[in-house]
Amino acid sequence: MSGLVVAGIGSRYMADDAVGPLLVESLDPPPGVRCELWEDADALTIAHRLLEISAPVLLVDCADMGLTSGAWRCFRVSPAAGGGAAELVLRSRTLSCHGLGLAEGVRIAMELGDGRPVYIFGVQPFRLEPLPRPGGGLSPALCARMPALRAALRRYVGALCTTSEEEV
Amino acid sequence: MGDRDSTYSISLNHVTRIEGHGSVRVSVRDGRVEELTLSIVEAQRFFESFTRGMSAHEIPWIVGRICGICCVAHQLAACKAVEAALGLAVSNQSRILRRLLNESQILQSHLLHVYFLAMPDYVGVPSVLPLAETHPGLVRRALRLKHLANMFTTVIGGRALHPMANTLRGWRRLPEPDALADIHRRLSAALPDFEATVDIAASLKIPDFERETEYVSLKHPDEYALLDGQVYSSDTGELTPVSDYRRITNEFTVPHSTAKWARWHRESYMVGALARVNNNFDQLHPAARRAAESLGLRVPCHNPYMNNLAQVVEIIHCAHNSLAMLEDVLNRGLVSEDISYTPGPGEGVGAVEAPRGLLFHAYRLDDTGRCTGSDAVIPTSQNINNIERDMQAFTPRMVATMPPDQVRLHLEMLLRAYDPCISCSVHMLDVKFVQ
Repeated sequence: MSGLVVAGIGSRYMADDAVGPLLVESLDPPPGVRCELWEDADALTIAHRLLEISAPVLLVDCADMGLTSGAWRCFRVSPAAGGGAAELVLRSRTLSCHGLGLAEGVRIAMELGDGRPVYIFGVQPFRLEPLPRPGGGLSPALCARMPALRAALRRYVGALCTTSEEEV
Repeated sequence: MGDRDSTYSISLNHVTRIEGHGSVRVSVRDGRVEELTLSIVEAQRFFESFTRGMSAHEIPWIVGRICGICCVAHQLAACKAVEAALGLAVSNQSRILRRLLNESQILQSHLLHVYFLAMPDYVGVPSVLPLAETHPGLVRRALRLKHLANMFTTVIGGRALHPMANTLRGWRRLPEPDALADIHRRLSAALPDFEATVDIAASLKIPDFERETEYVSLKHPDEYALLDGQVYSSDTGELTPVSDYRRITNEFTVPHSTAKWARWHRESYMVGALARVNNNFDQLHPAARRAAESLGLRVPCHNPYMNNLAQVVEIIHCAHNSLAMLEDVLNRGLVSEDISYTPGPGEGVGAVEAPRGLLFHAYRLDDTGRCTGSDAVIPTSQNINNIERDMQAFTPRMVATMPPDQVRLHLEMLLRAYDPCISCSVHMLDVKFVQ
């Protein structure tokens, strides 16, 4: 799969929500892979950015997946889950300016896009409340997991690079 | 309509959201509206307390967080109030940059509201997601324009949300000339998209309802007032200094609302895009006046649903007016200015036109320049009284001619037409009919 874009999503000031940007900026991408940081991007910005990119995109983000804190999971986003893909849960039944989240942004882009795949490397957080220290940062527990998460992300990016879209 | 449909209640219950909780309750018995209340049940947010003890330059950063959509308006109103308290002058260059920043935010907010919140109602879908399926070109255009408006704010203010470049008296870091030229080029290139926004808005079927009220907005002798001016009332045709804001808002409480309500020369008044367009129509950019004609918006307009179309008119105004201001800035160039000041005591009031309407901030500073008292009167709290009266006037007509689900839809559309901070809550509400 060529031209993969790896995008880190989240806020550095919301504890473990910083994991996306921190993982992506420390990723040493293989040839042909482009890394981007989409920090503090709202849902409509994410939708617009996804539509601008004519390549597969891997979003790296903190995600509530019902896993043990610190665990990670990789999957392809699909409007209808199945075949190794997963459906993102829409936060709101109908949309409002305050109810738009990543799931809604990705769904809008998928409705309007040309079918380019969107993948997610999600990390289950320990905490999302800002830490009482200047500059924010990850919780100590997730900090300790970062080497393993970096290794897992590198493996997944490598796998996506050597796999056709249909095989993922 | 049978008996089963002639007695019912509609409860639009609140759901906890970031900026506001609202609920509407309508009781209909034998085809007559017995009760209608619009309740605001939002908890106090204490921003006026947060600012106490803060130094003057911190105040705009704190109060900008009141709203994630109108952050620029809160920053600017606070800057103006503190500058009034300290007697600080603002250069013409900083004033132009503030106008650009404010118009960029109005573009952001109006585009978000018209395309993503209001449009689904008129197209007959529950949200923007099915709209993306049925009208992909429209949603693509909306995303392009929203992204452009975000970039515009970023160029002028440093970032799209809660800009950091602007401060008391002026700009900490001036916009880069190349970035200004680039955003000018992008805005010019987007004019067809802006015009297409008028075209799609012109096709919307706006509910037929009129109720005259008092329209209140800033008015400026030389420009369509969005940043500066005195307060104008359509009832009296007179101007009132911003410093007399308490005499304008006359805030009061009602049992079913934790938000204060407002009234001036009559029982309620309206602020926002329609009030501005009604009061200052001749000062709109010619392209915006043409857009109003295309949209069938003739002033004075007394249909509150037309506020959505007034927002479209202002989108066109801000696009063209910002282009002209950007050309002016590019021709003159920007120079670094001294924005230092000496803290001290004082009291001041500032007002700007936020996307949703007239916004007042007031601060009192002690001898060291620290805040000892503050007050903010936001557009939604000024509008709530008027919205409820619109609902009370329109609902009996609706009940006589529409089934309950249409009554509910039109009530939601009416509330949403004002673009209140609680519009998100209303979108999320479950409606329960009690026979």
